[in-house]
Amino acid sequence: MVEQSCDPQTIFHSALPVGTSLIVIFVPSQDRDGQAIDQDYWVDEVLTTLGRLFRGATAYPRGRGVWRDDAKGGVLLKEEPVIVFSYVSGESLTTAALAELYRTLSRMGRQANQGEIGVVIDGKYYGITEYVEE
Amino acid sequence: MLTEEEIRQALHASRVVPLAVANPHGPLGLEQLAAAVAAHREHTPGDPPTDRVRRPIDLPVQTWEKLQALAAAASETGTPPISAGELAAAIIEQYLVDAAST
Repeated sequence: MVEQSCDPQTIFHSALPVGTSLIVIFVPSQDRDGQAIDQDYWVDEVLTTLGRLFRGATAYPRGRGVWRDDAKGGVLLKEEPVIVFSYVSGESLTTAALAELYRTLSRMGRQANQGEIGVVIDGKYYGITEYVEE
Repeated sequence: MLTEEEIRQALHASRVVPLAVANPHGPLGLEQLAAAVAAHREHTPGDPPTDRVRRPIDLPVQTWEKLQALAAAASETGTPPISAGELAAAIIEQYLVDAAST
């Protein structure tokens, strides 16, 4: 008996709805001077913000990375960022929601002394280097 | 759906970089995405968008503090937050537009 091929996405109903965007945020493990930061706190802050704005988010520990700080002579900082991601419906991805997300990321960038905060939305990396005062 | 430029402005991003990761879903996809981001940060951090430049300028401390205060006030009005640097750039651009029209 020959079994027919199948589409797992159809069986598991796992395909993303049309218009869904993937937002990925990298929560750093250390500041631009190489000092450890309270990563758990900032993971919780980002999760809370994404959950409030987009109904849900997941933190995925631990990637490894490296960051060259040209403002400090090109020193390489080894990173172990936590990846936080959220699937966002098209109608939820508004400029107001992103502005609210920026407030959290800006606070993280300033208080955790970051050279850059990285956000990926639908395969494009957005590097945030300017942080607003509260 | 928002455009890339609308997202860049809302996030106040200084640069936007397309990543060559086709399907960053699931644990392996996210690891691949993290690796692509880490590699890019290692090689070309801080590059401005191709249609903009970033240049350091000297300002008196008091001037910068005024800009920060104005930016903070503007951010309290319910509009998207703006940084002191963005406000300075906007003022300069507006001045140049006005100067060109007179």
